[in-house]
Formats: sequence, structure tokens, C-alpha cells
Amino acid sequence: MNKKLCIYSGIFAALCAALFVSSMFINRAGFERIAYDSVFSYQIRQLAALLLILLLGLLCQFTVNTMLSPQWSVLFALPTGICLWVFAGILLLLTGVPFTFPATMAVVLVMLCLFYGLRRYFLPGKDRSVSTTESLKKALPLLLFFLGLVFFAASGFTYSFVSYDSFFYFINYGHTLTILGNFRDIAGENSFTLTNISQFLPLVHAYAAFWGLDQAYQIQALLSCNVLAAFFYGLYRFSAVIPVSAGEGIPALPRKKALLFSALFTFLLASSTCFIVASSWVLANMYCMVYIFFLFLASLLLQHGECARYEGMILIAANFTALTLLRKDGIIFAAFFLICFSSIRLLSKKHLALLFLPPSLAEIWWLFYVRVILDAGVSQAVYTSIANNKNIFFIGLILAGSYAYLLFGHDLLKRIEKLTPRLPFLTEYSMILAGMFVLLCYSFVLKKDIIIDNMDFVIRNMFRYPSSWGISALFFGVLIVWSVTVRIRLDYMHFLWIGYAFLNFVSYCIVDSKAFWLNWDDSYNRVLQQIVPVFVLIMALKSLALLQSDTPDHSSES
Amino acid sequence: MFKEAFAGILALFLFFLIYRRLWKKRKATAAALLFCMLIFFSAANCIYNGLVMFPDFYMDTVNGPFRYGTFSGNLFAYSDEFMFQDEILFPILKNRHVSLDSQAGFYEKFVSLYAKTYEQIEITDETRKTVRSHREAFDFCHPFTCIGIMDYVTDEIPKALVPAFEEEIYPMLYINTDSLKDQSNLVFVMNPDYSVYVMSEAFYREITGEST
Repeated sequence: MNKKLCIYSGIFAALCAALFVSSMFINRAGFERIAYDSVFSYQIRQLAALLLILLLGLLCQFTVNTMLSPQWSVLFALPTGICLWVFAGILLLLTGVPFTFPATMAVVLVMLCLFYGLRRYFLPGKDRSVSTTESLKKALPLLLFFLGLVFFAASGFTYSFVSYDSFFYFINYGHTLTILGNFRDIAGENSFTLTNISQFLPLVHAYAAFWGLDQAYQIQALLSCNVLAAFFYGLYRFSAVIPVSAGEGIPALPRKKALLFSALFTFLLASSTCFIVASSWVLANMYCMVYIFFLFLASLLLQHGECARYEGMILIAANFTALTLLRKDGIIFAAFFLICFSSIRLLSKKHLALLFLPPSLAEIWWLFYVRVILDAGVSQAVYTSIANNKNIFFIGLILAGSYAYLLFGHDLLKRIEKLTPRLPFLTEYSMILAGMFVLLCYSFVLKKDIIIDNMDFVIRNMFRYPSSWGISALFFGVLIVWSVTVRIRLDYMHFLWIGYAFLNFVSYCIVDSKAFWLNWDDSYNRVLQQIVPVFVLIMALKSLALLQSDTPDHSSES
Repeated sequence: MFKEAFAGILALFLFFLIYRRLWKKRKATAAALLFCMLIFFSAANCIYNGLVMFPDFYMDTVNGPFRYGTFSGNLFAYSDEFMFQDEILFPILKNRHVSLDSQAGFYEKFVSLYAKTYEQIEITDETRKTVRSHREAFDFCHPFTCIGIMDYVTDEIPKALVPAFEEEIYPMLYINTDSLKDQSNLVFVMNPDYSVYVMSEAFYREITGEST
């Protein structure tokens, strides 16, 4: 099986390599007419940039992990590599060390050594369950497949689209960071890019700019393919090998059926207009979508014993921090998932508090840097500036609230749940949702018109022709029906997506007092699209119960 | 829209009742239906995307629909019908030496950041007129939205441009792209209205008879 897979992946990689080579000849005329550069050199640099960031991620995964399977390590490699680069870059910029390629790579290498050292120190007896050579052998088909994807992404034949923000606040600003090498020269009377833009995506584009590339579309394209590959592999694993619904008496699917089931759901996700729009648009939402998906995946792996506790913790902490650095409201996403993980006791309170420390520190450090050290001025978008008193207060409230929930809230809600055994619907999730609903009602009393209009815009943005959701929103309705056909119950999985959508709606209406608008680029519309891969995965996992009529096939690989 | 949403929810509820009944009575049929519907959904998505969305994504904006993306390859963010066509300037500036009109101080920081090297040159009004008179030779012509990066690149907008900026009316960028191939030196000439003419040094010499 492995040999066959290797051959198929090898053929795929070879075909993509051929596409890459031919793309150089196709792109040559258009490219060299304008640029004073060789298209061959440009595309080779594009390829090398992708390979390097993937390699960094792989190195990190293979030095840190002991229990996570090689396949998962490969699937988590690219998001990890990007995180390493961005964390190292922001560390340099915040400490005032010139932001250059060698300096950032040096910090990345130090981080890798530190991870390795920490693993050896704290877990001295724990080496990989299989040797590195054996792991690489196991991961070879997937590695070849990824090599093919890298060739494909570097060909320039991927789909991307851009808006004003994509250019000025991510691509050009990222490029400028590589030239200036610090934040101080950017801060001025109107430091919009420091006060209203989070720095993750500009740093990704800075990585591409260091390679002499015009933008980082190729990284985004590879990342979308990575999400689809992880979605497929995850769904297959969770339906055929380690069924997530096993606790509910639902057996594993036969392997062929699981493959078909996973392939169809993956294809449904890949063809959804909302996924195409979200994953092709050069905005931070795309990366948020990716990191929310990998965060959820990491939690599933941890929940089902697919990785060691510390591995899961590292993955979750990295995703939390990435989310915080990706968008101004990223800390809200991270806090929400923290509450979700706490509610299912994914980890102990102490561990969860520890996981939430890196994003909290990153947020506090950034606010302190912009407000106190740089004293960056704002003449435009003063009210949305992250450094204004109101936003600082809300961020403080979120951080304090998250830790308060970990310390007292969770126990209190659990106690209420235990005190009311005759009310099975009164779960921790339903109480949190009820809390959000009360908050919405309160804001409804205060801003009735805005909330009615906003709800109207949410619906119109999803269904109005030509909507950025296409017709996929209708199909998602059917997925919801499937997910509740066997049992209607607000469980953890359903709470995840409902709570996410609801919390963001409430926060946009109350905190930002934001009026939504009728267009693809409406903030809430884009925030909703971020949860789509997680939503489809949850619906797929829930739909597994509908296939339980078949006799389980015990030939499934373990 | 609320009415339509309510009707949609009702339709889904009806589907729920039918599917649930089917699942209780005939599990195998319900499972087969699930697979068939998944195939149908994916196919419908593809057809919809093919007919409505591809090959280009258009977005309805207050100023009418405009094209957001293209399948024509994306080594550059450039396309003839694209809103931010002047992004073409970044690959043009890269690796090249620019001789910048000494009157074009506003663009100095921009050029100094994105070009390989630059120098300021004195250009007479007569020469500017000559360059303007060859306007038809500049095949690329688009509002210069790139100066929107002034937020972090330039210190302040010239007073003459403030009203235009507030109205989002940008100066024009003219490029003679035909003259660029294999040329490492560019000339930037600015008009009093802040419009910019970009060409290779060889082309500049050819039309003005002057060397930089």
C-alpha cells in the first residue's frame, strides 16, 4: 500500500515539476518585458522560499514530536514553519534588533535548538516511538505529495485575488518592513499600519520580499492545499481508524467507504465558493481560517490520544499566538477556543492557563510597544486603533475574563450542571450560549436598529446573488440537518461553530458598535468564512452516525 | 430577507423530517442518499463557480462591479482589467537604477525604498513638455493608487493633493513598458499635477535628446 502510494505521489510530484518548468517558459514573455530579472531565477527563488519554510516546519515537528505520527507532522509542517518565521521576526522587531533575513533565520534556529533542548531536558527518556529514518519512510508518500504541491504553487498558476488592504497593508507594507528593518521608521503622525493592522501577514509577505519576490501568493496557495490535505487525512483517520464518535457507540467505517466519504467531503469543501473566496483573498482572514482549523485539529488529536500532551500543548499554544498576531480580534478567537477546551477538560486548568500565556504576553507586549514605546500616532481610523483606551480596556477584559473563567467560571458552571440533573439541556455550553444571548438582548435594547440591520446583512451576505458564499450556504444547511438527524443535542462540536458565530456577532455589535454592510468584504462575513473548514469537518464527523448501518470492517489500518 | 430566511428554515425542517424518517426506516438508503447528495452538492458548486464566479471574481461595490482576481497567473499582481494596475511599478522598480526628476520630491522616499538605487536629475519645463507630447507612446496609464502607501512611506501629502486624496482621485501613472526590456536604468518625470511618466533611460534620450 505504502509503495503504491509512493508511486502515485511520485507521479504527482513529477507532473507538478513538469508544470513548474513549463510555467517558466509561459511566464517568460510577460515577466521579462517588465521586470529587470530572469523569470527562471525568480521562479526558482519562489520554489526555494517555499521549500525552506516547509523544511523549517518539518525540522520543528521532527525535533519536538515523539508521538505524533509522521503524516501529521508533515501536515502541520507548513503552518508551523510560518509561525516560526513570524514569531522570530516579531521578536526582532519588538526588541529593536534590525529585521534581516540572516538575523531572523538565526533566531529560528535558536528556537529550534531550544525546543529540542527543552524536550531532551524535560522528557529525557522519551525519544521518538519510531526512528527518524522510519518516520521519514512512513511520511514519504505525503512528502512527495507536498513536493508536488510546492512545484504547483511555485508555478504562479494558482488563483489569488486582492483588494486595497491586501496591497497596501500586507504586501507593500511587508516589503517596506524588509527595507526599513524596524518599526520606528514606520511610526509617525499616522501609523495606521501599526495601530490598525496586525503584523503576522505583513511578516509573511516580508519573508517573500527577502527572497526578492513581489508577494507571498505562493505561500497562501500552498497553505490552502495543506488545509485540504489535512482535512482529507483527518476525516479519514477520524472515520476509519480512530472514530471520534466511538464513545457514542458508532463504529469505524470500512476503509474504502471512509476514503470515499472523506474524499467527497473534501471535494465539497474545496468546491465551496466561500472556501475559494476565503482561501484566495490575500487577507489575514485566510490565515485565521488556517490556524483556527489547525487549532481544532490539534485539539482533536490531543482528545483522541493521537499526540502526546506536550505536543498538543505546543501546537495549541502556537495556533493561539498566531491567531492573536493575525487580527486585532484574534485574541477573542483564542479566548473562545480556550473556553471550549476548558469545557471538555481537554487539559488541566494549569495547562490551559499556561497555553494562554504566549498569546496574552504577545498581546500585552504589542500594546505596550505601540502605545508606550513607539507612541504611534493615529490620524485616520482613531476609533478602530488597537492602542486607544477603549480597545486596551476590552483586551484587558478579555484576558482577565479568560483567566477568571479558567479559575472560577468553569467550576461554577459545572456545579450548576450537576445540581440540575433533571434538566439535561442545561449544559455548560448552553449556559455560555444563553449568556451570549442575554448580552445580545441587552445590546438589542440599546441598539435595536443596528442589530436588526446587522442580522439582515448577515443573511443577505450569505444568500444574495452573487454572494461570496455562492450556493454553498444552502448546502451547509443540509449538512446541519444531517448532523442532527440521529440526535438533536447541543454538544461540544455544535457549540464550537454556533458559539464562534454568535460570539463574534455579539462582539462586533457591542464592542465595535459596528454596522455591517452589504458586500463580500463585510468584516463579519469574512469572520464567518474563517470557520468554514472546521464547520464542514464537524458536520462530516456528525454525519458519520448516518452510515452506521454497515458492518464494521476490522481490516482498517491502525 | 427575513421572510426568505424563514421559508428556508421551514424547508430545511421539512427535509429534516423526511430524512430522519428515511434514516429510521431504511438506513442503507439514507446513507446512499447522503453520498449522492454530496456528489450533487460538489458538482453544483463547480457548475455555479464555473458559470458565475470564474474565470474572474467580480465584486459588486458602490462604484459598480470590478474584477478582483484572475487566473492569468500571479507572478505579479497585474492584469489589464485589474483595479490596482499600478502595482506593476514594484517589479519595474526592483533591481533598477532610477533617475528621478528633482521636482518630484514627493515621490523620493517611495523611489528610494523600492528602486535598487536612485539619483535626482534636473529636468527643464521644456523637457517635461516634450515628454508629455509623447503621451501616446506610454502604453500603460492608470491612477497612481500606489501612493496610498503614504501612511508609512511618505511624510505628508502635498497640499495640492489633499482634496484629490479625500475624493480618492489619484494622479496618473504613465509607463512606457515597451522600452523597459533588458534596461537597467529608468527615468521618472513628474508633471505639476503630480502625474508621473516612467520610461527607460534609452527612451528618454531618444525623445528628448538629453542624457541623464
